[in-house]
Amino acid sequence: MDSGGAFNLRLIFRHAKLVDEFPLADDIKPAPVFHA
Amino acid sequence: MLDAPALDDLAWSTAGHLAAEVTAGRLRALEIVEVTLARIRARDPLLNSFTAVTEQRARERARALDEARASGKPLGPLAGVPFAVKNLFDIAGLPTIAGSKINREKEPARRDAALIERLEHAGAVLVGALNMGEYAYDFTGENIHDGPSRNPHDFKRMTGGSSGGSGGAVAGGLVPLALGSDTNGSIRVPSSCCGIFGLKPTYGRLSRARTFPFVASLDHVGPMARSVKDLALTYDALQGFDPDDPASINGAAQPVTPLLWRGAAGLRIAVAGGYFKPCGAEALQAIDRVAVALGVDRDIDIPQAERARSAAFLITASEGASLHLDRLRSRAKDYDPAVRDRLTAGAMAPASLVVKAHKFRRWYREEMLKLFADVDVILAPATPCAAPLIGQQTFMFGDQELPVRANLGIYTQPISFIGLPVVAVPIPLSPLPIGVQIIAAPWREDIALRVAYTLETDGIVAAPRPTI
Repeated sequence: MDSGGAFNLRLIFRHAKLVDEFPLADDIKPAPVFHA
Repeated sequence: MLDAPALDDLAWSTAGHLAAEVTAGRLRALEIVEVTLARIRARDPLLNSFTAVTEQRARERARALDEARASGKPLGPLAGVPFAVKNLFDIAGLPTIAGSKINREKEPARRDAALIERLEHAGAVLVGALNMGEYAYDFTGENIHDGPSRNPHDFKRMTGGSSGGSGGAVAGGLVPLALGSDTNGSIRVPSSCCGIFGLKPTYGRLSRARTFPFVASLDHVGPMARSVKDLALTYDALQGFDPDDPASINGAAQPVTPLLWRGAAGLRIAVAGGYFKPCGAEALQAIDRVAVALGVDRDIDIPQAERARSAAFLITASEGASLHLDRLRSRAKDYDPAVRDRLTAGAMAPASLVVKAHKFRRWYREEMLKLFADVDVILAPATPCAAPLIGQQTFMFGDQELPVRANLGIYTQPISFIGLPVVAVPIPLSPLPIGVQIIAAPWREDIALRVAYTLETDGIVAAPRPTI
C-alpha cells in the first residue's frame, strides 16, 4: 500500500478506536437500514 | 427583448418571482430559459459549475409550458423556473457520471431521477448537470477529471463539496435552484462556502431513486437556493413516498411553505456546545450573530458528538469501499488518487467495528431524541472555516493542522449520522460568507425552515450577491 492508502488506513483506525472504546449493552441492535 | 439590467435582474430573481411572472403571462418560460443559457455560456467558464447543459430539452420544455399557459392549463408552483442537478442524478439520455471518469462509459440513463420528475411536474425546467467531487467522497468541490468548481465570491477558492457545482451555480446566479446530495455534509458544506441556503431533510424524506449512491445508509438528497421561500417551495414540490427508494417514508407530504410565517416565536432554541464550540473566528462570529438575533442564551451538550463523527467516518469508509470494490480491483488507475486511497483504506476497516458503529448509531439517536424533548432547535456551525483556497491541503483548527478533504464536514457529520433535518443558512460576512446549521428533530423540517425564514426576514442571514 502506498503512503496515501496508509495515511487513510491510520485515520480509519483512529476513528475506529473511538467507536471501539465506547461501552454498549449487548442487546443494542445495529441499524443497517436506518430510519430516523 | 429585455435590456442588460433587466437580464441581470432576471438572473438574480427568486424562483417564486419567476414562477409568478410566468403564471401571470408577464414573462415566457422560453425567455427565462434563453437568458439562463446565455448566462451559463458567459459565466460558467469562470465557475466550472456545469458538466452538461441540456439546451434542447430545456427549450422544448419551456415551449410546452408557454403553450400550456396559452391554452389555460395550470402550470405548477415552479412554472418556468430553471434548475440543475448534481451529476449523480439520472438525466434521461446522459450517462450518470457521479464526478467520475469510469461512469462516463455507462449507458445513458433511460429515465430521469425521481426528484427531477417531481420538479418538472411542478413546472420547473432542467437546464443541466453539475460538477461534483468524485463519487461524492469529498468536501472540497475539486474534481480531477472536470476541474474544480470555483467559488463565485473568489474564483481562487473552493465551493466546498461534494455538491460543489450546485453551490457555485446557485451562488453565481446561473440558476435559482439546484439539487445536491448529502451523505456527511455535501449540501451543507458547499452552502456554507458559497453563501446560500441548503436543506438536508430527514433521512427517508426525499426519494433517492435513480441517483448514483455513495453510502446507502447515510445518503440524503435535497435542494439548494438563494432564499428560504425558494427552498421551501422546492422542498414541497419534492416530497412524497416513492417505492423505488427503500428508505422512503410511507406517509403524506407535509408542506412547509404555508407555515413559514409562523416564525421562531415560542420555539426553544439552544446553541450546541462542547464539540461544536467553534475554534475559527468566522464560525464563532456567525454562530454568535444568529444566537443574538434569536435571543438564545442557552448552550446544550450533544453527547458523544466526536464519537458520532468517528462512527459516521467508519461506516462511510466501509460502505463506500464495499460499493466500489470491483472497480477498485479492475480500474484503480481511473480514480482520483485521493478518492482511491480513501476507498482502498475503507475496504480494510474491521467489520466488527463497523457493526459496532451501527449499534452506536442507535444509542446516539436515542440520546439525541431525549435532547429534543427539551429543545426544538439546535444551532451549530456548518463549517469550521470559510471557503479554503483551491488546492489547499490543510487548515488550522485551534492549534491542530487538519486535512481539508476529510475535515470540512467536522460539524455536519455527527448530525446527518442520525438523519436529522438541517437548514444551512448563510451569514454574509466579509470578505467570505459562512454557514450555520439549524437542526431540528426528525421530520420537523418545518421548524428549521421557520427559524431560517425569521432570520432572513430580519436581515441576519442572506445569500450575498458576488461582487466579481
